[in-house]
Amino acid sequence: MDNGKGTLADVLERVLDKGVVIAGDIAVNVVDVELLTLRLRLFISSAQTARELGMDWWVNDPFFSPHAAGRAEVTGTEQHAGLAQENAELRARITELEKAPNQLETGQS
Amino acid sequence: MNGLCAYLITRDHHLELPTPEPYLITHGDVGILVAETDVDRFALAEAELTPDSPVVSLIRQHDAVVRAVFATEPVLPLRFGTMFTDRRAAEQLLSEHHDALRERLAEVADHREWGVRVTARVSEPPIPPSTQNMSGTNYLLLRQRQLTAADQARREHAVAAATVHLGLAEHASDSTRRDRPGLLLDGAYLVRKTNEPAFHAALDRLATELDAQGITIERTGPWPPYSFTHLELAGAHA
Repeated sequence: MDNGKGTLADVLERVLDKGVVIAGDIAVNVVDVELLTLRLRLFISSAQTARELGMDWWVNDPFFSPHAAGRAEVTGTEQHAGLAQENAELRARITELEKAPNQLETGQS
Repeated sequence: MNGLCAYLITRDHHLELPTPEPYLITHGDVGILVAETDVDRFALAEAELTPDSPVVSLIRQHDAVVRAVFATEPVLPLRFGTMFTDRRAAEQLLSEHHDALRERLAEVADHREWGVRVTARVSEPPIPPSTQNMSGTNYLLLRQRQLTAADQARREHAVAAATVHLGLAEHASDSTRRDRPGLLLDGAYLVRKTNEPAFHAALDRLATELDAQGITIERTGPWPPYSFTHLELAGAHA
């Protein structure tokens, strides 16, 4: 388990998303925080930067990275990387094809 | 154009800050920490973004000021970029919300926020190489087993996240969680300082238990109570 002060991403999340909001015209918020948050997220989601910032949780998430599963199996050589990618592509195709027999069964019953 | 950039609300007390600015504008028992700022500095928010770009350093500065006061006093951090036109506007806000602010400050006093992230390590079982010679039926059966296993894992993960959240909330005065893709749990806990040993002991115990299930717990903190401000102050300007 990690213990830490938190990464830049943690700081941004708190400073931008949280905190007391003063509504009305007594004070103004000079920053479009929503827009800034969005822009920062986009900026952070550039994978290389994200890894440096410690915000790379999606790298191993198959939902966001279709090749994540392949990456886990890669030992580092390009040959392996190629195979892993092919593997991932095939799995995606399988998922598609899998739906067919189910539909067939439903149709027969 | 100059304005008063506001950082936080705290008690009216003598602050040991290294510079004359930011300074405290007070009303009754509460104060708001401000600094004279050129509003145009915040226009840089539209400029390029890099880890050391001006806007990121403004955000870090905001956090640093909040932390400096938080070291000795209860604070309610303000949303980044809050500006008052002048001293009177800040005083008016304090006078209108004096009691609510004093009450909320008392609630966060002697508390610190801890962040907890729970993630599942990826461990998708590889398809055995022998599938090439498998019959279609056997192959589909294999895939079905794999999908059932994945479904099972998702249920286990949801249970694990709930276990962590409830187990930690027990030691916290307040807690909040939010959904974030890729995370089983993204939680924040407002913990009384005297409860911190129990909180961390519970966290360590949960981390050890869940590690065997391929689940990792990460903690961040201590933070000022950013996630527990629960206030939207409306200023009725005459």
